Amino acid sequence: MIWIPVFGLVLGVLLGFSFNLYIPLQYSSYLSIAILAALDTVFGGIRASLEKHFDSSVFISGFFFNTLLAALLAFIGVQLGVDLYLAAVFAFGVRLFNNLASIRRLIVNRSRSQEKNS
Amino acid sequence: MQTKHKVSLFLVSFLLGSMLTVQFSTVHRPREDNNVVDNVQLNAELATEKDRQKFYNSEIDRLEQQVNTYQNKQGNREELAKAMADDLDKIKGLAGVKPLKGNGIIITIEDSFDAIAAGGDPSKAASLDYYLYQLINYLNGNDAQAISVENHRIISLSSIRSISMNNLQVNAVMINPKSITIKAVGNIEQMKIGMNLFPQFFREMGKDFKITDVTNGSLTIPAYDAPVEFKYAQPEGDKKL
Repeated sequence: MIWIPVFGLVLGVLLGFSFNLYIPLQYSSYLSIAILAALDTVFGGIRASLEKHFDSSVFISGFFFNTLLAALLAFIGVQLGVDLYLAAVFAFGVRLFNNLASIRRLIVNRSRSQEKNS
Repeated sequence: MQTKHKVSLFLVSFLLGSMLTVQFSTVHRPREDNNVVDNVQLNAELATEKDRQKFYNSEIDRLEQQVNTYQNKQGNREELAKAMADDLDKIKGLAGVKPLKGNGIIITIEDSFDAIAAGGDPSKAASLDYYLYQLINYLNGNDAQAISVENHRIISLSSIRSISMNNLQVNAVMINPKSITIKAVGNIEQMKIGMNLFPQFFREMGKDFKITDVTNGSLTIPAYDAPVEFKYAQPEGDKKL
């Protein structure tokens, strides 16, 4: 069922390019942090799906909560004059790599178990 | 996989795709910044500002020297009066109320059968004043120190008006537009740069445009001869001269 997120991603990209949407340049840093949080959520969802404990409510709420929280953290950092967005970058970056490593291990284990069964 | 899961995956992927696109468009959008200038323009402006600074510095030096001259000659009233008279002469020259002499160019604009035969239309001479203004403006912008039209000195109060095809007024005096002589004292080469645009304008009115150089320093520009009265304006500040 990998085509569902791929199709959604492609549709989102096409829609974005067709409407030529953009935001003021000063807000692009917030959006970049929000994208990082969203990527973390997506890979977390893929990992949960592979581990057979995917929960769509947790997934959806996590997506919106993480995205908004990251953007808010970056905004507060700008207001306080502290680079708080670095904390979000670090946290989501580490989690992203952890999730990717887990996904890799799960796929490898699954392929091994399929080889054994065959 | 349940439908609910599929929908949530699709929704999040769709939103992520949109966010990525918006971010991409924002970052790669051409900047609508009117203040963006290239290095060439900045260098040109810097050079102009440096020249201006140099000029102001030399003016400060000159004025300080003038003040020192006055202070040194305070004891001797005759010398002080002479120094002040010299300065007054310089100022009169700059203001145009004193004749000036030097190298320069003589521009002759006169009716020509050849120009009419080549398609020039004398009825267009009604806009002669406009092109004369353009020409004087050009000369002033290219190192002309003093200009006269038909021996009428051009100063800040001067006026040029085409009354009709056959009547032209310079400094409120009627002159014959069939033959106009413009004299300009200044940097000859600088004044002649770009002058090749003007013959065409005047040829369209059926007039010839000729330039003669005067390099022996004998070109004389007369003084502005009308009285300069300031009825509606006075020098600004408390200290009146």
